[in-house]
Amino acid sequence: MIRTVVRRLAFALGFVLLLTLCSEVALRAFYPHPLVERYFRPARNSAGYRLSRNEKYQFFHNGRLINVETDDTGHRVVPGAPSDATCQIFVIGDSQVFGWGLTNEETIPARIQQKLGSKCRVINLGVPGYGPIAYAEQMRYLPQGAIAVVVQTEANDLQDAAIVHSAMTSRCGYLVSPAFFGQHLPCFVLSSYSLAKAIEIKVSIDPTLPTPVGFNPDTEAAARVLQYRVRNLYAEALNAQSNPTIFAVIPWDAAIQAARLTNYEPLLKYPKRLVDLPETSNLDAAFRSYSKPDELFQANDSHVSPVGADLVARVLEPQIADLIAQRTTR
Amino acid sequence: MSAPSTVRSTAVPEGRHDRLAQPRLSIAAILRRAAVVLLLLPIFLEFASRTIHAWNAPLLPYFFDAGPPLIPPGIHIKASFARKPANEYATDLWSARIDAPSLAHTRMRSGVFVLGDSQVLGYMLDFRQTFASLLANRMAGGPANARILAAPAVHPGHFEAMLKEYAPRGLEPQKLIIAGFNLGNDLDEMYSELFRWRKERSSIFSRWLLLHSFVFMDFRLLQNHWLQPGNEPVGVNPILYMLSPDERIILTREAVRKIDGALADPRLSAERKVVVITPSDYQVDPAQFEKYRKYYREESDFERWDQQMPAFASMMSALEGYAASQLTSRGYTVVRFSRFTAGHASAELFDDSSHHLTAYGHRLLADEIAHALESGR
Repeated sequence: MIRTVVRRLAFALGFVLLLTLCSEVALRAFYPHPLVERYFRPARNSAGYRLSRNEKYQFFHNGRLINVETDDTGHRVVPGAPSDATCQIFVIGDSQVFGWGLTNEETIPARIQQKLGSKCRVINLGVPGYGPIAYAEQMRYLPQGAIAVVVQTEANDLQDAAIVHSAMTSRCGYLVSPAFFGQHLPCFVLSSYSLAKAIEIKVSIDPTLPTPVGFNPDTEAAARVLQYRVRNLYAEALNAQSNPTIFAVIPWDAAIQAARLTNYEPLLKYPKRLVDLPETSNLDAAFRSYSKPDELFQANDSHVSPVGADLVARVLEPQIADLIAQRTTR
Repeated sequence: MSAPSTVRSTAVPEGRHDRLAQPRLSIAAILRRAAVVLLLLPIFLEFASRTIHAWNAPLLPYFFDAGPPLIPPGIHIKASFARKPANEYATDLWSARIDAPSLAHTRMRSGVFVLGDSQVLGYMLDFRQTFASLLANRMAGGPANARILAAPAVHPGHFEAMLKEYAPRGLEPQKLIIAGFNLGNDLDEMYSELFRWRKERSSIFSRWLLLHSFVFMDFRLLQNHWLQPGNEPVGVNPILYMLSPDERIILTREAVRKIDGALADPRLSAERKVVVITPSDYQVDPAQFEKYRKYYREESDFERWDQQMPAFASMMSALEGYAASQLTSRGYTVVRFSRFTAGHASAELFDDSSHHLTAYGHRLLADEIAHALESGR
């Protein structure tokens, strides 16, 4: 009896393994490039990781082929950035600035560079998963006289200020969860197309994300604490260096497109901002007045689309140009 | 003429027929046995659990289905926690704790209405041992003329929603309305909302199980135990190590705003509105932390936190003073439990395994509230 059960279990296991192998072969045949981003490395900063240096990586993201190229300092390449410019603009942020799901040419820093021309060099300091604690840390280490543009993400930046370390860690070049599987799965499993597809299916079955803490009435009190923390972090960073700094906030996608509220939990009847992030720019007004709001964000994703990235750059460019002019006058 | 099917079935060679029939029989037998086990096992486990718990529920069920946590409406349950003597808990049809199930269908007028968390609920106490009932006995015509709308995990941010759920068109006029502010615990709960975005939802079946199955209650207790983050020091309020002093003040200010928002609602009419602030146990006596020693695996860990208790007590007292002054300036009578504990042994005031007040603590609190009201403070 036991032997029969063991034999059947072994058969079932073998069948599952064979099926996984077949799906892996089929997926690799179908997709000529990987399905997951692999360009991270551990670092001794507050987040615990950063981008790999000199990486050239291509992968499929929501059916689009994305190229990610990093330079020798581990920053995403900004096409057309002049290496010899005396004026430097550092764009700080998380995956929105990095350009999640966007090509090198479509990122916010790349769009700013295109609009500014060759008078200044724009540097993309965006790293997925970073938050205000990491932004403040980056602000402190900017060279004297540089212009800083901190582009925050309303969808998660207040929440990200709740914990010092990022909710993710880097392993085998991937961003993984600090939970058991993230820390113990072998690299070849992490790089498997089948796992990527399985995660994609799981996310598509339950795509719900947390409602931003600044909009959720249950978290309003905690959000006010975090708002104070973020303001303090920035104030301390600005005290440590006197670089001119612009603060912008990419609005929550559901605040612009109410139809997206169903992607978030708890479900709100309407998006009312209770607690906001510090801002010297007004991206919210620009996003709200844009004629085709459904084009501003990627499909089924809270990240900006190429159109959204361009709008952000369009709003920020005059402010940056003003700072450059003031710098030149001085 | 076609041959009958029985004739056709005999056409199968005998050996093959046996080979086909054998696995079918064994699968049927396995399924039969599994069905018997699946049916008998829960009955056996339920019986075992009930025997172990002496037929007293090991937990007090509460659900988040209406938004804020609420004890199910219309229940009458006998529960015993941590092997303490059992107490009866009954709720009215709108989830407030009541003196007896016979009151479940009635609404209360001119009584003592209390809002808060497990501290004011009277965790591990009979209804008549709670300060709400003691006050009702003194000033509202009898010990049964009190209702306690409270549940574990409630914090001031829930008060408005709880009242809306309890009395959508406004609460009946009361003699006294009391909001309980369980200082350290409530601030912790308010901040930890950040990490609880996905609210627990219970199906009708799991709600039924939670009310009627001791095995399921045991399972939930074990589940909660496993979910406890391993590095969270028991008996220490997380806001003390997660937030800076300024941040704690902001959180307290928000808690005060929420209490005021709920009590100032014009649909809430009472002769007097009182806010009761209950302190953390170590705030009254840092030696109270000793009772949590058993929860620490490393002695050094416990010692490290224990050394900080006097400082933590001062921090919490400062927050309490701030909250009290803010609430007083908004016109509320504020009763601070920590102010009249001098001369009483802290072991008499707090439960020996949690931060909850004992029956003696509730009696002391009732006396002080009555005194504050009589003296017109």
